[in-house]
Amino acid sequence: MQHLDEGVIHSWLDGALSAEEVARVKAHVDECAQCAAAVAEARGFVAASSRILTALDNVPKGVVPEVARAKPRNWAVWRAAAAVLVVALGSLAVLSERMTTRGSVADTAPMSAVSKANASAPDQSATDTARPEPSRAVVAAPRVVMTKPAATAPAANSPRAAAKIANQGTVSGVNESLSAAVSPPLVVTADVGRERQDNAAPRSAGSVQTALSGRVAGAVLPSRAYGIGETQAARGALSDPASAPTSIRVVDTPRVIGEKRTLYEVAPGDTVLLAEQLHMQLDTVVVRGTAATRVDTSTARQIRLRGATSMPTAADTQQKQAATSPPAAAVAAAPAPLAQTPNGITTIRWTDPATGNVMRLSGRHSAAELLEIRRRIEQQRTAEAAAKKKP
Amino acid sequence: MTDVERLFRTYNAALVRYLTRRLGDRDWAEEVAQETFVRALRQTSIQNERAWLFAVATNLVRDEARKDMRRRKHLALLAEEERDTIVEPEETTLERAQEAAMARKAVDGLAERDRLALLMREEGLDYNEIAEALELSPGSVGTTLSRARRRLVESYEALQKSREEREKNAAS
Repeated sequence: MQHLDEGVIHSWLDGALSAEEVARVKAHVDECAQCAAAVAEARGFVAASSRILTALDNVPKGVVPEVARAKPRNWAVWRAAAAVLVVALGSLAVLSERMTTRGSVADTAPMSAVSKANASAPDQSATDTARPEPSRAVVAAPRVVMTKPAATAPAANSPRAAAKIANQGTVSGVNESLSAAVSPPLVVTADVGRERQDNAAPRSAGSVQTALSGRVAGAVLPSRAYGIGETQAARGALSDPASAPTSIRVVDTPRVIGEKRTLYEVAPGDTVLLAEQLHMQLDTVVVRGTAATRVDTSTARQIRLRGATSMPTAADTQQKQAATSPPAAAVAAAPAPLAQTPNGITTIRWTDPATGNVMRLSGRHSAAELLEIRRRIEQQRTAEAAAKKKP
Repeated sequence: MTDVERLFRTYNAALVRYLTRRLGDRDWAEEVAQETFVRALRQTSIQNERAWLFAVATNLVRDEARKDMRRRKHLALLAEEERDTIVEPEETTLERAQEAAMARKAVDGLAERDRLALLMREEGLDYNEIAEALELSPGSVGTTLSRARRRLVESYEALQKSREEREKNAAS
């Protein structure tokens, strides 16, 4: 009988032969010493190659830090973000007198937030903020102050930002403070830093736009209602094809240095943040990082007032939600996340084939859910692009 | 394909490992794997999921233009983020690092088809699946694998030998 082909031996060892062929090979190997040796050698190759390939797994992960892990200084900046946010909420001077009485029950948290904001202000040097810092995405909220040269830039964001400031300021300020704290998604634009007009470069809107990203909404303000039941509902909406048509809504497009951010609401109260890194020439932007963290005493007072009223309200909401929600264990564990922070926010990353920009999508979802959200966002974007083409 | 959760849970780990071994870059591997799942979402039906996923992932890697673009982006990203690197790489002994480098060299020395077939086999794909993913005839998979394994091991052993000789010379 002809000796066994090496390919046949490997097929046999890999269990890829039919029963008939297996019997034939076995019978031959039993009789032929040469083929028995070849089989032994093949076994060695199978085992050794497997071992060699395992060595390839020794790739140090973390060459590109996906999401900054919680660092002490992050919290300082988070608090600064909260402070800037609260300044926005209370920036209407009309309200300050009205709120004085309610403010007497002041929570200490906003106070510390203010002091932290002041303390951390000098750290944010212009050069520091000028550099795109994807890994600091978590701390991005407070640092964003940029404008393009007014002459060239369409400044599409700025008028919108200004409008938002007016709108949201009115809603959250004049109307009941409850509405701002309860109604999802919590997106706030802050108008701070007008006092820093000493820079000669033109400022398109003269405003600082700070927005709560999905991460902020979920992670920083635990008082923000991210109840388990709600999250589950959102997950259900994602995984259930019947309810899939729930459209993804753009809630905000905060612009930050080096990337374009879009805050999507995928389900009521459930937001995700899409960050698109942009190619930027540093000389095309004017950075005003220091302006963002300056808080004068009058606004600081408002912070206290606003903080005292809005924060406990949100906490109450959370308590109520917690009471009516199923236990946390009921939520399915997320699959191996691509990047997950300790606060449960997962980030997926990809490169947009059309633009070559690096995209990041973050939210309180499993990676698989984020993939599905990504697909829906892409679908929506494609549809919008098509709609624009056909006026 | 609505069952993305199941698809992801079932195949993500194997796919990322396959791609990491193929590319030598975990982050890149995860990105390609993710792109693969997104494409799977767009499909109405997939006959053999595993073969389909590995084939698409392989094609994505093969797309040279995209690869180059990604490399550039990756390098740019690295440069930007270098100063902020706070995730510390796992501790690696020198020996393990050397083994990894030799393994990478040996794997890179294989013909593309041999390499892919071998990496897919390591992830548990059967001969039919490998044949489907790589557009081979099922009958030739055994030959491809036997050749790939032999060459990989021989090449690795040669690298090992030359390293030992270098160390011996350095010591004497």
